[in-house]
Amino acid sequence: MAQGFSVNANKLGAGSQDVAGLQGRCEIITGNAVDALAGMAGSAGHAGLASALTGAAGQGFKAFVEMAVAYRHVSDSLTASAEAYAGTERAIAARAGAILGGFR
Amino acid sequence: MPGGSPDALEQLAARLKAAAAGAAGLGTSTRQVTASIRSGAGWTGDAADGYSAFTGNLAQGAVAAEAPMSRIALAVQEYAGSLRTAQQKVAAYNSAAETAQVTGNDSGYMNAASLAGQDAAAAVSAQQAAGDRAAAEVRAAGGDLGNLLGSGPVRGWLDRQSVSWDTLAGLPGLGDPVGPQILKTPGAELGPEILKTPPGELGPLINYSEQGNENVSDVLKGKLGSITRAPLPRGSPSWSDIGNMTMNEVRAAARANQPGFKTILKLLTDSRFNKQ
Repeated sequence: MAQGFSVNANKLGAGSQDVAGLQGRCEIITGNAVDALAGMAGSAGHAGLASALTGAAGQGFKAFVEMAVAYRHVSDSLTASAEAYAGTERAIAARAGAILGGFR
Repeated sequence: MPGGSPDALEQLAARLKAAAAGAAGLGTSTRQVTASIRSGAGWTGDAADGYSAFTGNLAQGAVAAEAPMSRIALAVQEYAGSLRTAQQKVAAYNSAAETAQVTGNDSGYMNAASLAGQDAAAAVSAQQAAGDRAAAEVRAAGGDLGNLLGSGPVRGWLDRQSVSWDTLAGLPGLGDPVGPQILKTPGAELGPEILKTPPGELGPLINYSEQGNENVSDVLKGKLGSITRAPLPRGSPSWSDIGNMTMNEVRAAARANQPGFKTILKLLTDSRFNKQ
């Protein structure tokens, strides 16, 4: 059974930008980490270590890109949810107005 | 002389360690920012709870990245020390051998060169062993990096997306083609529920026209910065090399199987890597 909800849709929508900022930080970390790992692979002078570092660069890249995508999803969803909540509120207000108007 | 650069390794290890600290900081900020968004909006209900669970998992994933990245940095730093010692010992041996030769193989210098040779051999052997140990440590940490999100709601959401993870599957170390699937906009969902994309949303469109006359550098402006960090196959051009190429030229190069261009084309044309 779903519970009721309360929300300030405007503030919720504004949060989208904050999460987009986190996504940007995530992308910078991705770049720094992958650059460092790939650079170490090129400077290792040991085939096994170079191979392991290349693999870790790939795993790290994938993990961070997935997280960046998840941040984007949260950001997009905050915007979409804020719009949906606002739309629902407008619809309820319009119906309530019509119903209450009947009592006048 | 053993190859490799201990100085570069140490600098890069320091950079990785800083990135690891950045990941931990990102996790902490994620907790704070997302909690503040919820409380600021006075948001309650099922959707709000789903949001908290999702973002909590995301924060945890970012924090969890610190440990394996730091382990890799430490392993490489330790290996760099062994590599430096091996290079110094081999250089000393080369010098001693040269001196012995110059002196007409004088027995004193020959003995010194022989001892230096033994030292160098031992140091190279130790460097190889240190490299093996570091490789094992890096492989283990790499495995941890691949499982940052655990089995929480973020992984569940990623796995539910129905576009295959094929863009990255062809890149070295980036998993199997039928593995985790991400980035697709889900189908119709009902209600104002967070973390479900509303019906009919198609996501950002690729920001270049069909004519294909746009330069790669222009297309990159609409893409996530991280795509230029993707490991490319051996022999690939650098992103700066192809900045002035048109998309048609990139497509032609991909069709001609020129090294790296198929991967580059995928990264440039997949809408999943578009900026917001």
